[in-house]
Amino acid sequence: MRDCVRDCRGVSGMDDLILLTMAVLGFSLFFAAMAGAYVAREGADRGHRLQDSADALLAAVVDHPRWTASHGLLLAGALDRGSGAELASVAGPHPFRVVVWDLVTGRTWRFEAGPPGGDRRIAATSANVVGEQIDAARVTATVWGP
Amino acid sequence: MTEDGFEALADGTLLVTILLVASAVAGSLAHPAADDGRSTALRYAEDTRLALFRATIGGLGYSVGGQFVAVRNDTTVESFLRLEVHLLRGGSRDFDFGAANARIADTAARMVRPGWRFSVTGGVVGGADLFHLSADATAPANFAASGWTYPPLDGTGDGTRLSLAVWISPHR
Repeated sequence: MRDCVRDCRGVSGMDDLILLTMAVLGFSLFFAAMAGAYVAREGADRGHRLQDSADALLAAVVDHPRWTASHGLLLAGALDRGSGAELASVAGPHPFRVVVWDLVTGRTWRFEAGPPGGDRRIAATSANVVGEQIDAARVTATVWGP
Repeated sequence: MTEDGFEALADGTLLVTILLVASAVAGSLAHPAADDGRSTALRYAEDTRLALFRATIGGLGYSVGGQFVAVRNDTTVESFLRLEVHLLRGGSRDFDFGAANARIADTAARMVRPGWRFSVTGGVVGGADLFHLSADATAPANFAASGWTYPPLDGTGDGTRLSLAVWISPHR
């Protein structure tokens, strides 16, 4: 130990190293938190946009002027002549599927566009199908997105 | 450690503390205030009530004094339930709506989305329920309801209220 010397430059170097380590640790934590928050936020926003698309699609179906007599009152004859192309502008670039299910007769009408894939959001509501009588029905709109 | 070293250590600790707080703030931004779904549930309850009440169920009727009284096949659920309230409002036990109520409840059960439950109630405005159609005894506290009031069928007395409540069942 008699040969040990105290090097001022070494001591100050160690001091700087402690500061540097704490700075690197702190900034790493901060930027990791920022990146994580951004990814989580983007995922949530994407989910909300998809859900908004599904809600808009559902609203377009139950209020479609060519298919309905009034809100939620779907005309069976008009549904027979309907097509998914009439709803494509509502869903935007997303693949979608709309199913109208007559709960009394069991008959279904499907309107769809694009191959399903990726994340999906579903909106559903109750409605009626007017044929020989006014049947209870369920309408489901599914939208897929990346 | 030199005096400068202690100063650097203090600066570093302060920096890390500030960055920890900033990280926590950044983390909290990842979770925006979520929609509690209340407005969606209320809209769903309204749509379901409208759809159920507009529906026509063939063969509805009631029994009185052992005789079955059928209503017209184009009678809506809404009209039938109004009739039920009208006939039961005086507290009469002569009328039996059990079979029709079961059919209406079955239609409602098929109408609501999987995982959701419902109840349909009706009575005189300001009075107790005269009927309660549901598979559950009571609705939980967080149900969404839609209702309507109607003038009495015979034009006298209090009006009729009909209501439908929906809620997400944790048991399904």
